[in-house]
Amino acid sequence: MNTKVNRILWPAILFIVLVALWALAVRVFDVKAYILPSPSDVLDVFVTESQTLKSATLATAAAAGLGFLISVIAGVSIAILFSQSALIRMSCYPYAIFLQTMPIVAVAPLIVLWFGFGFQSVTTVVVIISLFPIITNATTGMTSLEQGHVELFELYNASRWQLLFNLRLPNAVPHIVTGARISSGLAVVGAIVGEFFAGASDKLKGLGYYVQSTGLLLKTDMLFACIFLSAALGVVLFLLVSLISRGVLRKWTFDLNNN
Amino acid sequence: MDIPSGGFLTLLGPSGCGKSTILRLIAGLTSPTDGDIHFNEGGTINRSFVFQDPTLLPWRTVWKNVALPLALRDDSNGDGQIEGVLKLVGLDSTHWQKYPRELSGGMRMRVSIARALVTNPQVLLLDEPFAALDELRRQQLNEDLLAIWAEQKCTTVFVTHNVGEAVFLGQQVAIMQSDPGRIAETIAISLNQPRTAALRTEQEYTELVTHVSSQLYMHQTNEALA
Repeated sequence: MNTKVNRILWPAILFIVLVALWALAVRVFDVKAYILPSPSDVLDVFVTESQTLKSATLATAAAAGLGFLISVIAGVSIAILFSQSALIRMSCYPYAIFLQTMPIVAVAPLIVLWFGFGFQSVTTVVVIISLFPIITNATTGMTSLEQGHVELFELYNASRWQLLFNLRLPNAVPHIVTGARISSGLAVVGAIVGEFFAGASDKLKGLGYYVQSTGLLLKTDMLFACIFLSAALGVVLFLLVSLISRGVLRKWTFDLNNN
Repeated sequence: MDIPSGGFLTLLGPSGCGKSTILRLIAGLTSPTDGDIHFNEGGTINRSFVFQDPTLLPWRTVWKNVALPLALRDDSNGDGQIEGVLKLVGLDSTHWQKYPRELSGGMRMRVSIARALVTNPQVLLLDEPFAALDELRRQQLNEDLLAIWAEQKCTTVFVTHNVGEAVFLGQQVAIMQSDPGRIAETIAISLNQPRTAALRTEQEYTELVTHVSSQLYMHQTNEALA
């Protein structure tokens, strides 16, 4: 059997086994549904609440996607600025790290206070959490240039802009892609956290809002469905970024092989 | 040290004697602490530099790598020129759209030379360009480089630590000494042009190699005794 089939087959078998064990355990030990709903309960929720879950997933995907895009654009722009002067880099870098070490759950209420409840706050949380990997990776890519390449550009009296567009940016592409992969996973986490705090007023309520409200109401079957969809959304976004990056990186494959 | 216009000078010496430094001074990549470098025409001169590594940009195709110096000058009508130098260094059109990683070490060096030639330099500087290649490829590229030089007629300075290569290529071989780095002696190589592979087995050539080798050795020992 070829490995591609194996890679799907075995996890699928494990999944069926685990779900069966789960169903069995709920029945044998007579676990209450608000502690641990049975697989069929969760499946039921997917059917009865399908409209709600669909719109919630879309809302979360929109916030995560938009925040992620803003992060990529802002992160690369900041990295371009950083690449222009060691002084700027030195002055700003500690604050970029600060951005990363700040616990997002502690900052989220502050963002709600400033931006109000709703989509804009959720997106802001996404940007805050997913910006850092882009900044660091892109900056590394734009500043770790080969000496020979730099001298080549010196030889032809290349301007700062020519150096940026013909050497720094292309050199940074594989690094930016790595940063984007990390950020894509974080973006979904950010959207859930953001909706947890700020998602109550949106017309289209996201998964994070339902995670919070169903948890409080002990609607554990719905909570399970939301958790599952959040994780699935993260995987989808990650795969999407990987797919796009594979196309972009075709020229740079020498780097992919090294990673 | 004087380098005649249109001539081919090889700089020969042990590691660390400052061969590369001289080349980088001529290229303007390093500033002199003292003294001057003059060109006949006065003012600026069109110089090109071939590095020890091919230093090709891995995300650009062969064609676009060669086009880079022109692009940096905002010269967009150089297609004919690019085609010309690519053919001159022996790369046919099947390679033009390839990426550097798809080429062998020798071919990458050819691309690097093409890139240096694309601006029609008056002075071509090469810093041990073939040091990383095997002997057979090195000899082949030596012969090809001479053919290119004969066609382009640009003043060429070639740094090497290989005596055979220095004699085969140069009209003059400048032997360098270290501590302090200086040119100990310049030997004229009066072998006929064009020089081809057959030359390597001729007595005149082997005698010159022996002579240059012993001079190189002598200058090093003198320095050790001093």
